[in-house]
Amino acid sequence: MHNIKDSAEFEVLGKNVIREEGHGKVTGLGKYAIDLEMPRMLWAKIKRSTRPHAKIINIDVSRAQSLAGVHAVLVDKDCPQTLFGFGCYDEPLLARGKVRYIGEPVVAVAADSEAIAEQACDLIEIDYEDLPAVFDVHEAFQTNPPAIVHEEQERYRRVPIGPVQYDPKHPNAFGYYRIRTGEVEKGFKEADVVLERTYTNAMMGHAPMERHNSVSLWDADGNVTVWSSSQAAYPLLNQISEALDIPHSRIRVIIPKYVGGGFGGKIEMKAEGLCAVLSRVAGNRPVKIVYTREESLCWAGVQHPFDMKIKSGVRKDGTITSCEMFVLVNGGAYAQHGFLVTRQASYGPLGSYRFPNFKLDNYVVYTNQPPGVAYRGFGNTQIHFALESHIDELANAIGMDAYEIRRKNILVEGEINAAGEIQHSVAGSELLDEIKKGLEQHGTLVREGKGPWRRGRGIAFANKDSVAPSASSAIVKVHNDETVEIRHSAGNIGQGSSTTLIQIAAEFFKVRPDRVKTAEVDTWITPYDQLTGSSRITFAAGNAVLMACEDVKGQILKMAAEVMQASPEELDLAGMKVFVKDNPDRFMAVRELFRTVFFTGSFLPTGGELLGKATFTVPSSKIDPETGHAADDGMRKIFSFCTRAAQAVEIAVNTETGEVKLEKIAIANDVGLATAVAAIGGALLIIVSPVEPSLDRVYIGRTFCVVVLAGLGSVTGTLAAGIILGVIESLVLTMFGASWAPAVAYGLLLLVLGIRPQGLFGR
Amino acid sequence: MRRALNIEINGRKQVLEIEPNELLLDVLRLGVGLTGTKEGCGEGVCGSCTVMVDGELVRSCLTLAMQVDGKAVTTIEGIANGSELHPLQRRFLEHGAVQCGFCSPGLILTAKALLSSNPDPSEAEVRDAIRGNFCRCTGYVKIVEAILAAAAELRSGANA
Amino acid sequence: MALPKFDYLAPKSIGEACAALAANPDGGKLIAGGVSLLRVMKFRIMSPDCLIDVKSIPGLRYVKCDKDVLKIGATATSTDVLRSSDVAEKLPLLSQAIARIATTAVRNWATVVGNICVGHTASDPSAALLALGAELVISNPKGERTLPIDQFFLGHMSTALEEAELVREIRIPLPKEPVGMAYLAHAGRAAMETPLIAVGVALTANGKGCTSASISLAGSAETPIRLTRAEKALVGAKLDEKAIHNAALIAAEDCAPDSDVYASAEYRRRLVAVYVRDALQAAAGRIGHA
Repeated sequence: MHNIKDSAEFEVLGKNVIREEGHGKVTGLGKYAIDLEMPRMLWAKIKRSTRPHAKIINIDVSRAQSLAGVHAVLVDKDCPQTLFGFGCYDEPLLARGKVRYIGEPVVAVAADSEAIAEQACDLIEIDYEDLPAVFDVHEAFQTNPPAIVHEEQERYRRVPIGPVQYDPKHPNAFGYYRIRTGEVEKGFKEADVVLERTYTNAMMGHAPMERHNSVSLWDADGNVTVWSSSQAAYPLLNQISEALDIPHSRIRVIIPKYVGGGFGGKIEMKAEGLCAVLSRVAGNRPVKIVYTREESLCWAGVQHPFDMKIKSGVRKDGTITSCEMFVLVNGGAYAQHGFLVTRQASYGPLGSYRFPNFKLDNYVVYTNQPPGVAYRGFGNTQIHFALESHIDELANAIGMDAYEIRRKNILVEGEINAAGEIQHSVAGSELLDEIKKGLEQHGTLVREGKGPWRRGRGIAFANKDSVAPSASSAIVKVHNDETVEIRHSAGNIGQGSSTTLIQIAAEFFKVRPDRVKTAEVDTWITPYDQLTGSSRITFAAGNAVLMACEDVKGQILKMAAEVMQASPEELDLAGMKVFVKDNPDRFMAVRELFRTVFFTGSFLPTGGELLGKATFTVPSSKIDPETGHAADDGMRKIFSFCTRAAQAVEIAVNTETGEVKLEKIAIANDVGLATAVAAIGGALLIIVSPVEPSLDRVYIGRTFCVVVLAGLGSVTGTLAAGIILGVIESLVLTMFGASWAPAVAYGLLLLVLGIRPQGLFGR
Repeated sequence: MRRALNIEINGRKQVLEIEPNELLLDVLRLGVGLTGTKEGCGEGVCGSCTVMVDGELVRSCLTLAMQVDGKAVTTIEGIANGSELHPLQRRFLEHGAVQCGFCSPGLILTAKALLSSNPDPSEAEVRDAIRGNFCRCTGYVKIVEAILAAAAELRSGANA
Repeated sequence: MALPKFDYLAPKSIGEACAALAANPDGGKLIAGGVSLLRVMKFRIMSPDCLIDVKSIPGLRYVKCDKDVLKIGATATSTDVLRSSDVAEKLPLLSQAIARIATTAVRNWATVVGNICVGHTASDPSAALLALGAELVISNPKGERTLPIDQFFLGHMSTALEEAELVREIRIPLPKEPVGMAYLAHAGRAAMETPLIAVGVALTANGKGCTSASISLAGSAETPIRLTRAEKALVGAKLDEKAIHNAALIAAEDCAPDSDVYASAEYRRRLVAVYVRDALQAAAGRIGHA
């Protein structure tokens, strides 16, 4: 049995390995989806709504249709009359009867070139009859709102999650989550100070450098193939299936090895399904669409604005006695991932602090705004911003230090949190101590700066959970030249996950990482994966790869046993050599297994392949929809795992202009053992991002909560024990957007804390 | 009406037939299939489409192709020496300055132009030079490190 | 984003360019670097039938001193101006303003004349040229005329250029005595951003006080503007804290900024007061009147 125990033994993990697709990236030779071109390919454009809420009276496409070079023009009635979605199936491919936001797709065109398609869109005339629109989440939440965005909501198909999701008293709310622990009123009575504050944050765009784009082909055999810059092959496949009303077996999703970022904004289907219909109508020609930057920013999913009311009670010694939260999430015009963002965010506070009494109601509400989706942390960014601001206000109210109040209430190892979940590998106190030390290295704060500049310091804590249940599959093939090929569908959107998986397999086989490669994500070849999201890939796909390696190792030992006239149990494998454990001088190379010509060429004597496969699944406990609590089933598990981070900053504020400069920062992330050192260093550093006072955003005072999240590792149950930790797509959350100030001076303290392998994830 | 465009791309002289409304970016990506030059915004803001025209950086997404008639263009595909990476390309890899990689071609060319006019830049000068190149993944620190490391390597190579 | 269709003309002389403009009164448009024009064409804000390429005219790419005037030709790029040692030494206000524009790749291709002809209020070179009292040489089918730049900007993206006219040259008088110059801009972020507001200042003074003052603003009204009332208040006064403070207050009163997605009018007005004060202090300091 292979056993990876501690980092001292690692030969590949924890090392700085050049990323698998790096060469293609620095030479410009790697092909992203946006670079694909095919024979007979057409270009699509979408004519979008110019109204926030309006009935469609008439659509005149005649001039567009007769334009030379136009091959297909689609309106809703030309599309399958289905609805697709994630938690709530509410969205047609093209607006059906009415439009619900500015930018909603109304007509789609395929033409010989992008320019012709654009010209055709300009020739389309749409008559609207405006309806009252609702943008504000409080107005939308009313029992008699100014507009009902989805009149037919009650009939929508939904995923059962939490308590009842549709409540006629709030006809625009489409998702609801609640958590109940103890009695908040009793808790407030026990407090010395009770504070109530409201926090809001603005809508944000993901802005991946590679805009949303895809090529769709509906071929003459009835199969739909899609090449997409996506971060979730199988969810995309499923959405195409639902939108086009065709089975999974007819759909093939290919995600190139080169994907220019995602940050949560490339999970849902964008125009892949729509372009498939265009492809069919245009005579089975491939149809490419590339969103403009404007489309990509505004209409390919945005970060949900949250409105968060928090009421807390605190005793003079800093103990939080009670906390009540009422959260409204502006979901935009379609549900997309809103229901899950709402649920994940609801648990956010409970992974940081101890709340003896806790009450949360969190509604996600339709408005006539662009739909919201996941964005770097599934709502955790928003909720931690509010929570950390609030903790600072509590500290001020009782005259306590920002560090002390957090230290007092931070969860500790093995504690059961306010949702009944056991907390594992909690480095909370250590993280806070480290950032405190980090700032103290810079001496005491000098408030007075030059001229109008004044300085201040602040700290923040955050945690990030990863979804459960969670599953990844992997296939590992050993070729006749002993190259290891990993087939997985955990798309690498830039975070370097395929290299992480290579490192894991290389470590397992004790081979150099350049002897391992990954296959392009292709749902006809690479097996199921839930999604590249929720910070889950290193953990879930990593374990699946490890298990598949173990599977193929068993096959190799069995096959070698016959040749070596030994029993498989007597043998072991390292560096692609099978050897007798008691007598390592007796060995054979794996390539020698391909010793006999089978029919023709160098194959296994029995035919077949050295092909290991495995699925890694993380179960979760049953959750009580009324209280949000995990059942006491011995597991007490809501999420796959939770990672934690803390930061301290010193900033300077220009009291005349409002400019803010980040001058010093201390970062502490609980990443366990980093699998990919160079990648993690780079990813953590993105947080060096400035506040922009000129944007007229509401900045909430003292809390410069710049939150970094890091990936978490794995314990592989029966197969191998160890921690493999690494880099995931959602490493980083920033409160203020990722623009950049080159002038930012910063001191950096990067801590990689080892976490205790014992007791991880309940094992 | 299609026009003739005389253009040298990565050292190869070519005559292409183009429409007046084609951009240099279109000629490179669609015309001759050099897709290493990326379009991030199409508005000259993000820097992904940066190439060199007669040795000077330009935004290919806002450069009318007809205006580069008779000029020499260098793209990311043209800076390696055969299979040997340019020091900037190699340092970007070694320093973890590449994540999704979409901004890398524009950044590497921008850095190349900087180092040819200023072989020993300060960190502040590097940051100013790349101020028009967006990266959404890395936070720039690793990129700055990689450029400074490549500059040192190129200087020591020049002295040797 | 694809460009709409248009014809492309490459005139070989200013006469040919003016004739081409005259021949296409509705759909002809000059292009130099095209950095602003192609962008608005991508958004279909403009769809000219025909682009007339000024860059194809030989002999217009120069930055040179001619006696006591600095001349910038119609196709000189921002980089060309930044590489001129005459500008760096004698007109630091201009090089500071131009160094702020976008980034190297844009400055290498975009022209200074093109920048001012866009007529945008937040144009860095426009503010600098206003403060420096520049003149424009404008060619037309009949010949040429000169126009002081403070009469050039008529409104949002609107200039005094008439049909079939083009700006052939910018002329900037070179200072004959020590001039205290300063250019300060405030952008929403540090990198690659047009200014929310920008201030250009040029001052002269003698032992008694300020002898001439020129203050300009970008991004603070519908067009780039001169602050004549604040200038008048300074001339004859000692360049002390009180006079500078007073001029800054007048500047904040006289500017007329708009609110947009980047900043409110109120915030811009507040910035004007701060930046005019700081620019005046810096300029006065450079001629020993700090």
